[in-house]
Amino acid sequence: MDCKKAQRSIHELGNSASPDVQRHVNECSDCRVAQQRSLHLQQLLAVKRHESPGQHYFDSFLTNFHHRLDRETTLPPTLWQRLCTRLHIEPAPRLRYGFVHALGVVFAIALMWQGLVATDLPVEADRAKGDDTFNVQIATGSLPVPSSTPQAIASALPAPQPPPVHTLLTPSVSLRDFNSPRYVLDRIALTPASYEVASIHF
Amino acid sequence: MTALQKIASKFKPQPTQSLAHARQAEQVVDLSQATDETLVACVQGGDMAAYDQLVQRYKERVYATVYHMTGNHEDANDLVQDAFIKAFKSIGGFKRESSFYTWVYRIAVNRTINHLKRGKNRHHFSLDDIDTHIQNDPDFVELMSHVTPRREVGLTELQQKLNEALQKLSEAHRAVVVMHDVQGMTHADIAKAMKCSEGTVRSRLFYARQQMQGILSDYL
Ligand SMILES: [Zn+2]
Repeated sequence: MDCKKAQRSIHELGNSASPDVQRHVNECSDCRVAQQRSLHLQQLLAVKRHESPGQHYFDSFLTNFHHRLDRETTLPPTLWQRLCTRLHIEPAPRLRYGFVHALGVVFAIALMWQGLVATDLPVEADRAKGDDTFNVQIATGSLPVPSSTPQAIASALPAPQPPPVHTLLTPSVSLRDFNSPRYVLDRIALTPASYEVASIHF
Repeated sequence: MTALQKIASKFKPQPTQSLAHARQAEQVVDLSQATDETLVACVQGGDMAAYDQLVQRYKERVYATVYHMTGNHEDANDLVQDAFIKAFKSIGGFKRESSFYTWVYRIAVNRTINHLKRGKNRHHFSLDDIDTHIQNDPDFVELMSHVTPRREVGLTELQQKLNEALQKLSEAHRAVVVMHDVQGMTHADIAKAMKCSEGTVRSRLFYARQQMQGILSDYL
């Protein structure tokens, strides 16, 4: 039997190790020392059995257990329960369903309202926001510009973000370097007839 | 509604079972004399006092293991309370395939290992007093006769070194050492508590002791 096997067996089985192991230990001084050390370690660890946290340490254990259990099993009141308490009404299930339906209707109306508002966003505001990054030149000069004109088109370009500009584009390429979009006017009516995006050179 | 009623309502026992529970509850007047099986049946039937009895019966034994694994009382206290709460919440589904003690002990050990793995342990050690019975412990007498002649060492120093060495082990190795060498549990019981094979227990014990011998070489 080799020493490694014997020492492992001593650790795992202690005194109940096989006679083969015992015989090896009797003949091998290394394994005898290992056995002694293993025994002393176990004696040392056994000292911990005598550690105690004090006579009255567990007196309040059960009380604390109940406090914690109550805390964990008592769920906080729901929104509905809190509302009923506030309104001094019984939290009847039928009322709750009515309340949920009413909330749903309000939510739907809010969504519709938001949709309406979103389609009527002021173009000026968008243009002002993009002023730092876009420079749309309008050939019409002082002509009155309808909402479906360059400003609207400018706002339809990739959404401009607040400064700094380099977050939008790489430092070497700025929207200012683009050839500005060209606006073609109807000569007779002097109203915008078409819009061409100028070629972009990088 | 009390906590127990809330939990019990989740796990409504079968009619025949509840009848048996009720009968048992009537028959058992002194809970301290009741077996664990009877107490568990009573708890499943909604008797909180029966659960209190189980907590009282096993809190210190479960606590000792968790304390030796964490090394401090605050964590040990929290974890043992957690384990009893978790056991209570799940008692409706307790199949009684093992004893209540093995079950709650396993919950506590698992929670402690997870807690230690997450690194949530408080990094200080509580240092308990050693009870006076130690003077009569033959293991202790032999240990001191061996250690003291080699170097002047006090019991407190030994305790400190031992705690430090234990904390250097991995969670699973520490659990095995605590259960076997501190608490004197058999390999089979440890395997049950840790849901692993006895071979794994023996192997962990071997590596853990090797590591500890290296750390505590001055005292062995
Ligand atoms: Zn050898």
